[in-house]
Amino acid sequence: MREWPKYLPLLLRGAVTTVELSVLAMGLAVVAGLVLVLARLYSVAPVRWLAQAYVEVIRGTPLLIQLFLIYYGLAEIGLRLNAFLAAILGLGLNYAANEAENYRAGIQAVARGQTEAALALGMSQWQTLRRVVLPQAARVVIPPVTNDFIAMFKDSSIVSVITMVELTKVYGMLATSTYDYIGLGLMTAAIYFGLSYPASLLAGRLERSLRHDPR
Amino acid sequence: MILVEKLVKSYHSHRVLDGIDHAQQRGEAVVVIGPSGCGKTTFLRCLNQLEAADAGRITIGGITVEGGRPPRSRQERERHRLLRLQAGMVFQSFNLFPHLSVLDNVTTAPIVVKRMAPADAAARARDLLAKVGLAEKAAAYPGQLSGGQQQRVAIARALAMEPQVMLFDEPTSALDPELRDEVLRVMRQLVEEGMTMIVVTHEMQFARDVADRVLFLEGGRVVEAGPPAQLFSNPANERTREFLRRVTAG
Repeated sequence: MREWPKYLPLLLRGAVTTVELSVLAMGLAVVAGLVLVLARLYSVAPVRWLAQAYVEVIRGTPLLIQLFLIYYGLAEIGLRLNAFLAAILGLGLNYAANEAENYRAGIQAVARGQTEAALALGMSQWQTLRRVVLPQAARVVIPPVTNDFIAMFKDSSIVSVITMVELTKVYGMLATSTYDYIGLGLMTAAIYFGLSYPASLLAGRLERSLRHDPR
Repeated sequence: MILVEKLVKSYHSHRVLDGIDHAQQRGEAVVVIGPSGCGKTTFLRCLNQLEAADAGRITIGGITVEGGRPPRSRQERERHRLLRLQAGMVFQSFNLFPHLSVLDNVTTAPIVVKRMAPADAAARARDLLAKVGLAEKAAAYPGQLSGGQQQRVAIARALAMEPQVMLFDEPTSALDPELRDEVLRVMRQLVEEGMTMIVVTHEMQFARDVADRVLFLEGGRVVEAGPPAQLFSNPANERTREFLRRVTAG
C-alpha cells in the first residue's frame, strides 16, 4: 500500500496511452460513421448496400477478431502496421458502425416536414441535409455518441492483445509482479472514472447548449 | 401564370388526382375547397414537386415539368428545382426550423440557395417580419412562439425567396380559432398586394371574402369552379350544394 506513489506515474503513463487511443479512435469513428450513414441513406444502390453490409458485418463479429485481422492478418499479407495505428483503426472502424446506427436513428427522428420545408424553399438535397436535418439530428445523437465514447475508454483495454501497453495492461503487469491486485485495481479504476466522468459532464453541457427550444 | 393540364396522381390503386385542369392569371387568388381526401393537399404538393405526378403537365411562371417519370438528367432536376423556386409553400404544421432563430429561418434559403449576401438577406428578412407583424421576434426561436406567430414567420420565410406564386396548405387548420385571424389577415394583405396564390382551406368566410375564384374538388376532379359569390350562393352542381350544406351546417 505504501508503494502506491511509486506505481502511480506508471499507471498515469498507461492512462495517457488510453486517452490518446480513445480520442483518436473515437474521432475516426465519428467521421467514418457519418460517411457510412450518408452512404446508407442518400447514395446510389451499390454504395448503399456496401455501407449496410459493412455495418452489419462489423456489428456481427467480435472486436477481438477484427483487431487480430488488422494487426496480425494484414502483416501476413505484407502490410505491417504499428500496434498503435492498428489499435486506432480497429477501435475506430468498429465504433464507426455503431456511430452510423446512432446517426441513422437521429436523422430519422427529424420530422419529414422539416425536409419538405427546406426542399420547398429550393434547397438541394445536400443543403437540406447540411442546414436543416443534420443540425437537428446532432442534438438527438449526442447522448448515445457520448455513451459510446465512455464505453470506448473501457473497451480500449482490449487492444493489449495486439501488444499495446495502455492503462489496464500496465495494471495487469504491476499487479502480477506486486500481488497488490486490490490497491492497484482501485487506483486504476479511479483513473478510469476520473477520465470518463468529466466526459459525461461535458456532454451534458453540450447537449443543453444545443437545445434552443425552451420546451 | 399557372397552367395545370390533366394532372394525375395515384397512391397504389387509388386515384387521388384524376385529371385536374387549372389555369390561373397573375394576381389571381384561388381557394380550393372540398371534403377531406378529395385531393386538394396532393394537388398543392404536386405543384411544387413534393409529390411527383404520374401524368400531366405543370407550368408555373414559364417553367414546365411533365409528370410520369422521375427527373433523369441534371437539366431535368434543375428544371424541377426552378419550378419549386416559382412557388412558395406554407404548410399546415408550419415546419419552421426549430434549431434556427426566427431571423435565420427567413434568411437561410436566400443565403444558401440564392447566394444573397447575409446582410442583405437579414435586412430583407426584417422587412418581411415587420410586414407579418413580428419585427420584435427576430431573435426568438420557433419554440417560443405561438402557433399563429409561427405560421406568420413561415409566410415570411416563403416570401423571402420572392416566389411568383404562394401555395397555402390548410394554413390555419392546426391553429386555435383565436389565432387564425392573425394569419388570415396576413394572407388577405398578400391578396390585396396582388400576390398570385392558391389556398387550400376550410375557412369558407375567407374564401367568400378574398378569393377571385373558388375550386370545389371531389374525388380528385374539379367538380365546379367559379367566383365565390356564384359558387357559394348558387352552386350549379348537386355535389357542391351537398358539401356546402354540410360545412355551413357544421
